[in-house]
Amino acid sequence: MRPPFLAAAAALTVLLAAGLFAVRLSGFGERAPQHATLLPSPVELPAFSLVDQDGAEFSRDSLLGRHSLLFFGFTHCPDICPATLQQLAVARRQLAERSRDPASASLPDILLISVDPERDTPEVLAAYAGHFGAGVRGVSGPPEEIAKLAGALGIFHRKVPGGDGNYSVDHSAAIIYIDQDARYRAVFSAPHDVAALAADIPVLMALR
Amino acid sequence: MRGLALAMLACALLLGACRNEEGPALAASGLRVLAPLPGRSESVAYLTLDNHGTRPAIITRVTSPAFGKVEMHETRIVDGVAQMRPLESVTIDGGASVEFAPGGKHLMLIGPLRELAPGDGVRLELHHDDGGLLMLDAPLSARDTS
Repeated sequence: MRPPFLAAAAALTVLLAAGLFAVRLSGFGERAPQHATLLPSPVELPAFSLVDQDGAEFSRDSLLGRHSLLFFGFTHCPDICPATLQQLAVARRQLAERSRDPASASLPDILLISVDPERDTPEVLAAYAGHFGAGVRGVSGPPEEIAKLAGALGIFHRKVPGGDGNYSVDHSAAIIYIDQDARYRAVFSAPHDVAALAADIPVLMALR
Repeated sequence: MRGLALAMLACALLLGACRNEEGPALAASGLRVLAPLPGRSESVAYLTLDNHGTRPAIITRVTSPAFGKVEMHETRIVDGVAQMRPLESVTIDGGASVEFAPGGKHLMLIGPLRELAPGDGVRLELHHDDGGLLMLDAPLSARDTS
């Protein structure tokens, strides 16, 4: 009788330990994102001074107390920029719908940081971002101020001359998560996917 | 004389059939022409091209009566950086397909020639290197954020 009893006790202990571990992961502790890459430790953002789509200053303080998803792009980009903003907007809407009380649900701000301040004035950004619905806003500013924020986040951007005096801008396609303490916490690498964003955004927002 | 004419007609039909058999036979599906976003004068179209023939089909130019210019572009993610570059031509090998989809190849529609609203019909003209033309029509659709 003794060996079977010991085996059962051992199995029970293992099950309990696994259960506690699962509970810790899923409920009381922090879950790990499945798609986004967490930074080994949060990165404090430097001071910067940009301008939002309403013409108001947008600085590091503007990110405090909010969950923010940043995408660097420009409004003359017809493909990946609107496609990514659309994916973010759809993911945000899905999170709102999943919430018991969508009106007061904690949802992230989606910020298009334009790397084309020459053409993307606050007026242009307001009209453009408005199309993607609530929670999507445009921000830009002097190139040297964009460089401070982009540099801290490892975002690359470069103007590329095109035909007829036009130009395009190469830019990192990553989506950056900034936590409520205005710290860089995680990054989604391209290509993006609505289901992956909708699954991981709440996980990132729950990080301590 | 009549016999000769019939024979020539038969030959012409036969040659035509052979040409169709071997030449590119391009079919488009899933065409989506998206309306320009507020304040923007450029937009984008996506589609899939299937070449049911045996010879490659080469698209060298795209035009539209609704837009001043249409360019074939490709977005590539290189080391995490999105690069949009114009394409001189797009080749669809015999029996193969080429997809124009978000984040990849796309048709950039520049400068609407008239006021456009979702639902308006837009024609796209895909010009082949051999002088052939594939005309496609689709209603302009809004970007769906639902």
